[in-house]
Parts: sequence; structure tokens; C-alpha cells
Amino acid sequence: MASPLSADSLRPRTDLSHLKFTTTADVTADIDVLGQDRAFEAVRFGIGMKSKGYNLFVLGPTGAGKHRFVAKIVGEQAATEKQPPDWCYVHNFDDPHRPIALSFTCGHGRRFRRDMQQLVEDLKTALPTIFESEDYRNRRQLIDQEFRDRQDKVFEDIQEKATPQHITLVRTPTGLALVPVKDGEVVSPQDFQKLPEEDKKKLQEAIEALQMEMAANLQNLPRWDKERRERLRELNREVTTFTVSPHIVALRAAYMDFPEVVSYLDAVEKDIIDNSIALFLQDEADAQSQVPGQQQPGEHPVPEGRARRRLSFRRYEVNLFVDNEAERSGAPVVHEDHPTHPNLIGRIEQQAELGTLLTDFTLLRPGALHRANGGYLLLDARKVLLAPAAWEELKRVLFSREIRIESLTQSYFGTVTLDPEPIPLDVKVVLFGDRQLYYMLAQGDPEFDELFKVAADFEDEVPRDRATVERYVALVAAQVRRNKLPPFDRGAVERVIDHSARMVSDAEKLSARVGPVTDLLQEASHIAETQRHDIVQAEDVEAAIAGRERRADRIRTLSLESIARQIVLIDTDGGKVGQINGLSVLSIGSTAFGRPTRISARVRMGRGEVIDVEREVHLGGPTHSKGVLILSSYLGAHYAADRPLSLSASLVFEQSYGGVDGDSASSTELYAILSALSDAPIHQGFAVTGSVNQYGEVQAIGGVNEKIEGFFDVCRGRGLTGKQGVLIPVSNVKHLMLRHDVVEACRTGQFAIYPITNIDDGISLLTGVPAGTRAADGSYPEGTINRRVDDRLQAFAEARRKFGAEVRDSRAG
Amino acid sequence: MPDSGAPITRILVALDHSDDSRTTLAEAAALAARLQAELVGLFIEDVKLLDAAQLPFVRQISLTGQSGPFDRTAMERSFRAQEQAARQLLESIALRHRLSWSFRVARGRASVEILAQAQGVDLVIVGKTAPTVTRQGRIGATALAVADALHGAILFSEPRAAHVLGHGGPVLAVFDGGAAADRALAIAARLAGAGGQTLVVVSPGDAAERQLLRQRAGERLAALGVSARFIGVTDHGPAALEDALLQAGGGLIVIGEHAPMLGGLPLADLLALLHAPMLVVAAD
Repeated sequence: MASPLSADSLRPRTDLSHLKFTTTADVTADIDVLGQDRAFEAVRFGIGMKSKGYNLFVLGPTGAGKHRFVAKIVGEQAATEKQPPDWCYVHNFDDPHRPIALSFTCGHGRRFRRDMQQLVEDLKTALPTIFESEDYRNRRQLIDQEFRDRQDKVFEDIQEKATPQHITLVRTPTGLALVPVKDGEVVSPQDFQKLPEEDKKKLQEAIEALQMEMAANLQNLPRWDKERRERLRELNREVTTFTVSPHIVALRAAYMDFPEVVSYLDAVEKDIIDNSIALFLQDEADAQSQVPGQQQPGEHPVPEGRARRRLSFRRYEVNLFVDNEAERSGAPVVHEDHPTHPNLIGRIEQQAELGTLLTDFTLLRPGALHRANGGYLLLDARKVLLAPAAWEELKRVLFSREIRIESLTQSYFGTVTLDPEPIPLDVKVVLFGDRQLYYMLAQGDPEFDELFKVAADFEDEVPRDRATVERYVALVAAQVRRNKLPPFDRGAVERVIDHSARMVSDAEKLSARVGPVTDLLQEASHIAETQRHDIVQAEDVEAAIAGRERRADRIRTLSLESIARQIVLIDTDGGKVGQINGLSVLSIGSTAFGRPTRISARVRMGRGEVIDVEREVHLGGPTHSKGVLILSSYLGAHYAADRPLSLSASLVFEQSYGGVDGDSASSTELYAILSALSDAPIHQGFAVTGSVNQYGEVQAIGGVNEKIEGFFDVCRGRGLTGKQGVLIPVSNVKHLMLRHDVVEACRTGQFAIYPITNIDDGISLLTGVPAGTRAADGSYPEGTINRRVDDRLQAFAEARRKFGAEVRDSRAG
Repeated sequence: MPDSGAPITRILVALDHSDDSRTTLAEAAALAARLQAELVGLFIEDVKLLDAAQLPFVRQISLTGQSGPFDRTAMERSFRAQEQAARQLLESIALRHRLSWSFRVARGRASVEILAQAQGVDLVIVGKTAPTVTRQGRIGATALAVADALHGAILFSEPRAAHVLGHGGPVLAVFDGGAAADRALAIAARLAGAGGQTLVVVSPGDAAERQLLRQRAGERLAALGVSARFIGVTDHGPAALEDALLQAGGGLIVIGEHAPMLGGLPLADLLALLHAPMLVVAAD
């Protein structure tokens, strides 16, 4: 018969007495993660591979320290690499809708922006000065005067021809007219009527001739004005070139190593020369656009001109788009915490002006890809996937290896905006996510494997060996330092490590998740502070763990209460045939607790089936059904190898309404059937967990600690009798990390944990009756469980045989 | 018309269809604002043009060389459009300067209508040049006719020196011992005082004459409580006046009718020679 486990094996304690430290303040080693050699190698490989598509997907449990770990490795690598170039966007003078991207070696972008600002400032002073010079004004007036003279000559010639014919030229509100005069006054209509017909006719002919001549001559005016403006433009070009060229020449020399910049400077020079008057002398431009002598000084548009000029100067601005001078050194490492579409690829901002949204190249804003270009970009995969269009855009730029800024508005609504020149992209993207996400992408997105060829898979747990435990101490100490917590003494660290083992429900493993451990450290520190402990002690850690469990304890308390009030029927004493306490785990949020469930079995003659009531009413999951079917196989092979298994057994999870899955109760169900078949009562002070195979071997299950504690809490609530305990698979012993109160109850013999290897061991313990070993003749010893089961099944078979014969006889008769 | 001590409370500005009218109006408004005077806009529909528009076979030629009908209906429509524009301009300027204002339309000969409307007005402002076809700016017959007939103050605005009145340039008073010199000095002092402008007194003659004139002007100005800068010129005539104008840095010239300073030059010639606004004051 199985013996109970010793108390010490129920919670292997961490012993750090071999380490020379009193508190974590004595531990200086700095460790971020534990036992992630595989992930480390993958990250190293990924950042070392420069070929296309070798981006990384770092997967693993939350809180495993992936970000910090990878960021550290990437940061170290980036520091050894050269700084990427600066990027500037400038105006495209040929096509303003397509701003030009200029590349500079690091630091030159900022310098170029400053130089261009200086150029404009210099020209703002120099050009007005030259345009206000006496020489320029005289030359300009000469051109204007020549035009006026030509214009006046048209009228003077006409007037000269008109005067001898008693005709004069008068100005009307909308033009000119040739009218007859007498004694210097316009002839009135009445006086005109009095003229002899011959005089009228002469006047008419003369006026018509003059009108035709004048109309013909006036048609020259636009051409002359065009000539005037052309000559003025030439004059302006000459003067501007004289002023601007020395500045541009100096800039060209300064940036001769950047051919695209030199081309841009050529365009700047041409544009300034072409538009100098309009840009730098708006008032002058207003004047020159009008025919001389027709200015409207009463309503001079100076404010508007100034505003226009201010806007126009923007074309010479330099949008320092990516400024790597600000970086410390090496390649950039950018962690974009909010990876929306615009935050990734940049955006085109707009300004509202008079009810219209306007934009230009100065309103282009970089995204994380621009900032990380030439380096590394760290992103949370889930956030990228949740942001509209971000994932597709990220893939697109990684495929095309260039960043093209395109607003979503532009994509979906086709609005007219900018189409900036794309910037070549050379970036290593590191995505962080959980395993589910990784496998989902790998399976569902055919492009994923092409772009993220390296997976760095972080472990959930690490072995609880001596070396790892020592590293764990260093990890705890590092977290204490990093979070500026008071030091933890040796005992406190031991409790933290114990808890880490409990987190993974394995006495031989530790959790690799740093986040939850850090949370525990902070909570324990808080308690230590309230207890006025300068050093965090074991009791503070225990209190933190207990507090955490207590805070999440409401559902567990309600469950226990329903059992205590006998709303849920659970026996913890006495014996019952065909009735047994099974154990299940409820997981709610981040907490899980065990709970006993009564399982009952009834048997009768039948055709060899075990009826799973849960499955029949669709409350049983497939794994549970599988376990039940295994029972049929076990019973048939074990007891009725040479005759029909003439049994009909039904199994019920009593008071279970929420569905059952998993096969961890299959051994429990088998015990209930064997009890029912053998009519041997099962001691209700036991609860059982463990799955069973076709050979009656009991197999490991999950949640063993929670299950034991769940039954312990019920028993303790009713008073421990010393006859209560839990049967667990022997293979689960290594997972035991039980609560202290359970361990202590076991130590004092008030409770017991039994490791079970096979069904015979279990049924013997549960019923107090030996299972019995099959003899050479195939029989079991009298009075044993197996004998009683065998006899019962044989009786069922005989009865069935007889029943079948009677039926056949009645049909034949 | 005001005597030497009376304030200028009402200004009449004559407007017509010429381009320079807008400049004249803006200048008049600026002056009225400084003097806190009422501004009366008078748009004159030139009856000569209306007569001409009734003549057969006369056509209107635009500055683009296009020929079109020239009839009385179209002419009247053009006038109405211009009146409307002038009224709106006057209104907007008056609003900006918080001026008291009115607008009238008269049809007839410009000089006659201006003189008719000048009753009860302290200052008449007219454009110096006639609405001519050339850009050279012929001195308008209207302006001269008004100057001859008006026994008061008339200001000839100068489109080529726009903003002089509005922008607070100096006021040059020609004090040459003429019959209207005292009155010119008084009006100039009032204009300069109202706008916080520099008053420059220009006196011609030899040293003794200039000294005497300066002394007399000083006494007049002392009585008015106004200080001035004095510029003496040795000669009479427009060249001397232009020289004084240059020394003063431009500005408004205030001169008496038939002033000795003119050296017998007709007013029309003086107006043609000097590119500055000029206020001509009749003798008492």
C-alpha cells in the first residue's frame, strides 16, 4: 500500500546558506534574465544577419524580460556601428507636390538647415538694399519712362492729327473717345446738328479714321507692356544674380560632397533669381505688376504682401527630418511604444488657413522607421497588429526597403496632398509578442516568414539547479537595485525563489518571468516599509504572497463556503460505495485554486459501455471523454479479456454545471466504478487526482498543488482528522510546492499526500481492501477488490448470457 | 472760408472718373482725420462727356484697342458705377478714421459745381491734373478755374507725392510779405499743429528782407503759440521754392494767392513744376 510523502518533499525549500551574502546589497552581479541561451543566440544571429528579411520576432511569456534583454543586446551592437545619415526634406521647385529628400553625413543636416536660414536672412537684407539703390531705381525708371513715352506718343500722335480737324481725344470712365470740338469745348449735340451736312460728314470720316488708327496703335500696348516687364525682369535677374550668386557659390563649395545638395542649390539660385522681386520685395512686386502711373496707393495691400512673403520664404526652409547628431553615438535604437501607421512611417501635417487645410514639405514629420533607419526598431507586435493599416504598411516598407510617407486619408479618399520622395530604408525590426501571436502570424500571413526569419523564443521556466539559483539571487538583487527597493535578506530571497518555483508548479523549475517576481519584490518591500523593516525579511515576502492570494480570494472563499454550508455536497469522512472526491482547478484571471467535486458511479448489467453523463449532456470536453473511454478499455482488458464486458456504468460529476474537461479525473472515475462493482466503500477523507492509461498506470496531471490545497482547505474547515489526504500520481511529486500550512499539517500527521503508481495501489488505499494480484490461473485472491470486481462482472456476463438466450427462445417460440 | 484764426471743420473733396481721384480722396480723408473735420465727397458727372456721348458716330475705344458704342445710357451707367465705388471708398476710409462724412453727386461743369458746393466749406481739395489720356499730367482747367474763382483755400493734391498729407510730412508756409502771407502762415500753423507736424517757414529775399520776414513770422507764430523752423531763400520763383522743399524733405506747401514768391509765374506753371501738394490761400 502507498505510504504518505514526507513533509519535506512537499515543498523543497531553497537553501542559500552556501552563498556568501547577507542581503542583496552584497550581490553586485547584474542579471536581466535567466537561462535564455537559445533566445540569446537567436538574437545575436538575427542582429548579425544583414540579409533581407532577417528581422526578429522575440516570443515568449509576458514578464520574461524580453524587452530589456533584447534592448541591451541590440544597444551594445548598435553602439559599435556607424551613425546613419541625416535626412532633410526640401522644396521641389519643379514639382512642389513631390518634396525632395536630401541625405547628409551625420551632423551635416543641421548645418545645412542653418546655412539655408542664414542665406535667406542675408538675402532679405542684401536684395532690398540693391533694389533700393539709386542705380537700380534709375534703370528701372528708364524702362518705365520709355514705356510711358511710347504710350503717350500713341495719344499725342492721334491728338496731333485730330487737332487740325477740330477733334480732340477725351478720357471717359472706361476708355477714350474722339469728339469734335469748337473753341476748345466739346461740341454739344444741338450745335452738331446745326452743322452743314458736309461738315458733319467730314467730321465723321475724320473721327472714324482716327478711331481706327488709334485702335490699331493701342493694340501695341500689351506687347510694349510685356516688353517692359520682360526688361524689368531681366534687370531684376541681373541685379539678383549679382547679389545671390556669391552666396550660392559658397554653399556649393561647402556641400560639394553631396551632389544632390548641389543640384538643389542650383534650383534655389534659379528660383531666387526668378522670384526675387515677388519674394523679397513684395511691395515692389505690386508696383511692377501694374502699368506705370496706375497704382492705387489709397488702398495699399502691404499687410497682405507681408503675409504672402512670409509664406513664400518657407520654400527655402530645410525640414531637418532625421537629425542623428542628437544621438549619442552609433546606430539608433528606437522603441516605438505607439506604433500607429503615422507613428511608423511619418505623417503629412496640415495647417488650417482661411477654412482650408494646407500643407507643404515643412509639415512632413518623421516616423519611427525614419528615426530608426540605419539601426534598430523595437515594436510590440500586438500593438502593430491592432493599429489600423500599421502591419500592412510595415511589411510594405520592409519589402520595398524604402519609406514612402502616405497619409491614410490619401490612401482611402484620394485627397490631393504631398508625395514626398521616398527615403531608402535599412533597418532591423524586432517584434515582441507572445507565442500564440507568433504562431498565428506564421500560419496566417504568408509574408511573415519572409520578413521575420529569426524567432527568438524565450523560455517560460528554467531548471532549479544550484547554478541557476545562484543566478536567480543575482537577478533578484539587480531588480532590487533597479527598482530602488530596500535590500532583501537571505531568507527573503529564499522565499522569493520558492515562490518562483510555485509559480511554475514545479519543485524542480523556476519561473523565467522577471515581471511577476519584480511585482512580488515591490509588494514585499511595501510591507517591510509598513513593518518598519529596513531590510526585507522572509516574513515580508510571505505576507506579500499571502496578501496577494487574499486579494484574489473571493471566488475561492465562496466555493469553500458553499461546501461548508453543504450546498455543494462533499464528504470528508466515512465510507461510500461508488462515490469519491475528485479534484479540479478553477482559473480566474491570474489566480487559480483547487476545489473538490463529488464523482459517483452506478453499475448494472449492460453491453460494456461506460456512460459519461457529462458527455451525454454536452458538458464534457473531448479530453474528458477520451479519459472515460480509456476506462472501458481498462475494464474490458483487465477483467473480461475472455468474455463480453457485460457492464453498463454511469459516471456523474455531481453538482457540476459549468462543463468538465481534461482527463485528470479518469483515475478517480475508475476508482468509483471499481468501488461500485466491488461494493467496497471508499473512504471519503480522500480526494484523488490523476489520469489513467489502459494498463491502469496513473499519470501526471496539472495543478497538483492547487488541487491538494483545495481539498485541504475543505478538510481543515471541518476539522482535520488525521485520516484525510490526497492521492496524486507519483510522477507529480516533483511538482509539489505546497503551502506552508499544508506542509505543516502533513508533518504533524493531520493530513497526507500519497503518491500513486497504479490503480491497484490507489483502490487499496481508498477502500482499505487489498486490490489483489492475479494468480497463474487467472484468478484473484478471495476478498480482494479485483476478485470482487471480477466476480461481479462474471455475474453480469452470465446474466446477460441467460437473458440473451431467453430473448432468442421467445423470438423462436 | 476761414479767417486766419478759424479752424478747418469742413472739407470738400472733388472726385471724378479719373484714376487720381482715389489718391485725392485718400489724402483728403487723412487730412480730415488729422483736423477732425467733416469730409464731403463731391462726385461730378462731367456734362461734357454726356454731351459727347450723344454725338453720332463717336465710339469709345478701350485701352486694349477695342472699339465700342459710346452713348449717353452707357455713360450714365459708368458714372453710377464710379459714384458707387467712390462712395464705398469714402465710407470705408471714413469708418477707418472715424470721420463725419457725406457724399454728393452733381452733374455739370466741374468748376461750376465745385464752386456751387463750396459754400460753407473751409477747404476745397481737388486733383491737380485733369483726366487726360497721356500720363504726363496736364494741370486741370477745372482746378485752375476753381482757384481763380474761389475766395478761400484750395488744396491741389499731387498723385506723384501721395501720402504726403496722410503721413505727417512737414508743412511749408511761404511767408513772403504778400497779401495772403499772413493767412497762409496761420493756416499752415493750424495744419501742422493738428497733425503734430513740423512747420517750416520759407522766406525769400536778401538777408535783410529775410530777417524782417522771419521776425514778422515769428511774432505771428508766437501769438499762435506755434514754433517753426525757418528756411531762407535768396531768390523768388519756383526753383527757390523747390530748393526749400528739398531742404525740408518734402511736404505740403501753403502759399498765398499771387504770392511774390512766385515771381509772377502763373499758378498753373507752378503746379506743373512742383511735385508736391499745394494749398493756395486767397487774400482776405
